Amino acid sequence: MKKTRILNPVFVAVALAAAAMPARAAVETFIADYGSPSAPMVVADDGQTTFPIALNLSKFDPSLGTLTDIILTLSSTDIVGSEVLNITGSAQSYSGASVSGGVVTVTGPNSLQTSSSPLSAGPFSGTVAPYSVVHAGSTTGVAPASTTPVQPTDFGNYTGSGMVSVGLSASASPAHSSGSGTGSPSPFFGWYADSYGSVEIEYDYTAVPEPGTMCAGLAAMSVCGIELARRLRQIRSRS
Amino acid sequence: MDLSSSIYGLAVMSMKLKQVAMAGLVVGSALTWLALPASANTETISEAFGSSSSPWAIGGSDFPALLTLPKFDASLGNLTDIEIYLSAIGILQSDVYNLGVATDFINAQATGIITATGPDGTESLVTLATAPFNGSIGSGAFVQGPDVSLSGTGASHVALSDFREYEENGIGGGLDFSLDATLNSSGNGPPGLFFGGDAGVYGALEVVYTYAPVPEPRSLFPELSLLGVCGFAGFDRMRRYRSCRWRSHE
Repeated sequence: MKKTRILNPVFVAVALAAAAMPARAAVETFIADYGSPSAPMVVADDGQTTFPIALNLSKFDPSLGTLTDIILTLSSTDIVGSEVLNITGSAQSYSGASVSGGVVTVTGPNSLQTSSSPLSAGPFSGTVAPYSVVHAGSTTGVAPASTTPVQPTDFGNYTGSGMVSVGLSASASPAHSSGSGTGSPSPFFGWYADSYGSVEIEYDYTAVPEPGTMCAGLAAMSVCGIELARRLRQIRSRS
Repeated sequence: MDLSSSIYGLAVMSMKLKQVAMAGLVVGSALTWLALPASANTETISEAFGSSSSPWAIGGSDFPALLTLPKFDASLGNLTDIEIYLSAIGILQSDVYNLGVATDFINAQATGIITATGPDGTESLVTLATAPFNGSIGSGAFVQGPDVSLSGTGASHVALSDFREYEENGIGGGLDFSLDATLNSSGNGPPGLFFGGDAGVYGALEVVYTYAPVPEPRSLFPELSLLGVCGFAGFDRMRRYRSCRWRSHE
């Protein structure tokens, strides 16, 4: 009898925990990178660009629970560099090659956007071969990360099996480039912009309890029920 | 006051004026003579580079160049100042090359910097800059700004402590000036736009020696003669004054 009194609160606690299970909040995160420090994506370089690009991220598995929020975060590291063009048939040496005020902007969905602070690079010196362009030197800046929520009406696009595609575009605003060098006409001075970074998707959801957890809860409830029934029977038999 | 006293007064005044004029002449001559050693003479020497028909291309093989000018002949006097003037006339042009998509550009500019460096390191500099120009440029296009004719002069003074390097001092030889020029190109635009330019310049390097000449014996003769006359007159007056006083004592 005494043993039963001690066990009763334990059964009740287990039952309450099992009942609270369906309201548990959970987070799942996926990250996709674009470019790398050693191989950044080209924003703009002599008319070339590797943007726009699409990054594939895993969709949310609805069997895990119910989605409450989806948050996208874009992080980018931008590179601005000075480059020198030689339009003559002789090698040209240059000095003071520099660029100042270069701003790189990377844009994603749902007003996701990063912008570097104005970046400057140089002065650089070197030699440029005939009829060619050379990267004289560069500087790197980390842009403040951009975070944006996905509207609940769009949750359907992010739910299910497979991947969701996040598109990114990039641009570079006008900047000042300058330098001096040998040859007539002199070397020409311009600039280029690269970027690398990542997109992170965060799924916030309320988890559905797993079958094992559900069994434990049900078993505890059953034991409680049996004990209750036994006590009721005892009370009735006494009366 | 009667007429005779007026005439007497005028005569006295005339005498005094003569004395004053005489004294002024003597003092003026003395001052002129004293000032002579401080009079400044100048000697100007120059050397040209390039010409209007054949300007030197900045960035080409003409630069850097060595300009040699004669040193100052120390027997002429003592140097008091050395000024160096670099004058340059140039035709400059700013160019824009577009390897990207069609776009606009602003502030395309070419700036020529010509420098002459003396044996002591004294640098004279001329900067010639085109006005910034703006425009639009198609993909793969080449745009040239207008030819702009510009001129300028840069001046510098040689430090007193370096005068010896500019004086002949019997050693002979010339002053070697290193002449160099660079063309700086700049502009604002998106990636893919390149800013360049070309320029041709000509001009001259001029050295002005200012010196205090050593006076020649012949130039001293008039002043010494005048002083001699004045001294003789003074001596004569003194003698007469003494003889008057001696007579009055008698």
